Amino acid sequence: MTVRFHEALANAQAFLAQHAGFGARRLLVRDLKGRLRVFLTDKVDLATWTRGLNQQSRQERDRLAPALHASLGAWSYNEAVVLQDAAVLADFNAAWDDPDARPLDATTHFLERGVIGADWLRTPLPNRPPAPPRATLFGLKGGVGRSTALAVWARFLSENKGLRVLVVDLDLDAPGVGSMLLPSADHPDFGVVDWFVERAVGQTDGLAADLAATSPLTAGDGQITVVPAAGLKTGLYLPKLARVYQGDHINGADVGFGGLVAELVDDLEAHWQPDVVLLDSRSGLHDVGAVALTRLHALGLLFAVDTPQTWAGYAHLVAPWRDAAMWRSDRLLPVRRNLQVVAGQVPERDRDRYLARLRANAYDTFLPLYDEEADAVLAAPDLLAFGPDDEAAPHYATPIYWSAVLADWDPVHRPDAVTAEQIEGAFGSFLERATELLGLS
Amino acid sequence: MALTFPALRHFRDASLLEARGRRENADQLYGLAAECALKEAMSGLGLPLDAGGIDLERRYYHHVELFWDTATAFLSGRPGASLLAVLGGDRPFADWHVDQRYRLAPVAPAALARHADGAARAVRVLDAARLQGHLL
Repeated sequence: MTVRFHEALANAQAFLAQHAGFGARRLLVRDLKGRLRVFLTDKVDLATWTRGLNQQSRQERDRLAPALHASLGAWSYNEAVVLQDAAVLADFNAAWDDPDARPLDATTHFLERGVIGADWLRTPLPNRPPAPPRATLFGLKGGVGRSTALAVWARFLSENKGLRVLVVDLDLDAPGVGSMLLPSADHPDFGVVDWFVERAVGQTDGLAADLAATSPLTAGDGQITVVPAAGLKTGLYLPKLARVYQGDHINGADVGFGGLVAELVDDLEAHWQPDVVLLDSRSGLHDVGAVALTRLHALGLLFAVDTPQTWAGYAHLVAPWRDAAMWRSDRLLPVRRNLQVVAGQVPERDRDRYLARLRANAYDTFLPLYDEEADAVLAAPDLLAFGPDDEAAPHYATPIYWSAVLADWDPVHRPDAVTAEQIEGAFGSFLERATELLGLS
Repeated sequence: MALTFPALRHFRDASLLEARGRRENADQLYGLAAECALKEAMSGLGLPLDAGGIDLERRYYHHVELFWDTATAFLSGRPGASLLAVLGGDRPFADWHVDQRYRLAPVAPAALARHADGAARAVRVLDAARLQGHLL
C-alpha cells in the first residue's frame, strides 16, 4: 500500500508518540525531497565530541528502525538512517534550536527543510530600531486593486496628513506599484533587485540614495518617495531576479530571505526618514509575502474578493498557525494582532449582500487565528476572541468599492480622470480604517 | 585517495588542540577539517568521481586553500544555493597551506581565528547538506 507525503509524517509522529520515552531529544527532519529521518540523543545538551546514544538506546534503535522505515514507505531512505544518533551532526543543538524547528511535544521537534515557505512560520525579527509604522498590502492573486489602493492611500497620507510616505515595490515577480507611481523617465537609477544582488557581495553602503525617486502624485505638505523593483540602470532584470531569494548567514545565524528584506527596509528608512512605509507584497504564498506579513512588524492588509480561490488560498496560510497551543500562544501573537482583511473591488450592485457574504466567509477562514475563550494558554488581555459580526475583528473586511472610472485609472499620467468625490466614494472606508490601524489618524 | 571524510573527527580534535593551546597544529588541522567537510558535502551534491567510481577525480586532489574556491563554484547552482549562503563570500583559507606542517614559527592569532571560523562554516555546510537530504 503506497504511503503518501502527509501519511508518512503522521506515521512518523505516531511512532514518536508511541515511543515517547525513547531519547531525551528527538529531531524529526523532513528534507528537500520530503523524506523523513529522526536524529535522537539521550543527552539533553549534546556536546560535540560524544555519542548521543548510550548502548541500550543503540540496541533499541536497531530494534525499532525496521518498523519505522517500513511505515514510511518511499519517504524513508533506509533502516540505517531513518533513526540515527544525533552526533552525526556537528551541531545538533543548533538544529534543535533552529528558528524553523517546531515543538511537537516535550521531547520532539520537527524541522522542515523545503526550498521556500520557511519565513511564513517564523516570528517577527527582533531588535528593530525605532522606526515609522509599516503596512503591507498583500493579495493572493493579482488584479484585486491592491496597487491602486496603495497609490490612493499614499496620496491621502501625503496630501491630507502631510506625511513623508515611502513606498517599496516588493512584488518583484510582477512589478507594478513602481510603474504606477513613477513615470518611466523619473525612475531612480536602481531598484529593489539591485539592492539584493549588491548585498550578496557586501556593496550596499550608500545604495539607498539611488533606489528611490519622488512620485508626481505627491501633494500638499507631504511627500511620496517610491522604491521600484528596477531602475533606469538595472539593465537585464531576470539575471538579478534569479538571485534575490537566497537568504544569507551572518556569523553562522540564518538571516534568511526575511532578514535581508528587513535589512533593506531598515536601510531605506535610515536614509529617507519617512513617516510611514507602505510595502506592496508579492501575490501568492511565496516567501516575499510571508516575510512582509510576518517578520517586519508591519500591519498586514489582506486583500480579498469573495471567490472560492481566495478562501482556499488564505486557508492554506492560516492552517499551520492552528498547530499546537504552545506554538500559537506567544510566537505568533504579534502577527495575529496585526491583520485586517480588505474587500477589494466590492461590486456596485447588491453591495451589502456581497459584503455580508464576504465577511461570513472571511470569518470561517480566519477563525483559526482566534482564541477560544477557554484558552488557558494566554492571559485574558492577550486573547484574540471575536464574534462573526465584531467590527473590530481582523476578518471583518473593510470595503473598497469597485467603479468603472477607477478600473483603468492611471494616477500618474491622467490624474484628473477621477474626481476626489469618486475616490472618496470608493476608498473612503479603507482610507479611514487603514490609517487608524497605523495610529496615524 | 579513498572516499571517506572524517571531517568531524578533524574538527573536534582541532578544537581540542586550540583549547589546550596547541595552536600551530590546531591551525593545520582546521584546514584539513574544512577540506574534508566541504568534500563530503560536495560528494552528496554530485562532485564527480573518477573512472574507477571510487575516488574523486584527480583535479579535486587539492587542499582547502584551493578547494574552498572549487566548493564555492560548485555550489553556485540550484541545489547548492542555500549552502552557499552558509559558506559565505570570503576566502578564509587563502593564507593556509598544508606545507605549514613543516613550519617552526608560531601561527598568528588572527590567522588561527580566521581558519577556525572557516572550518566552523565548512562544518555547518556539511550539517546543512545532511539536513537537506543531500547526504544521509
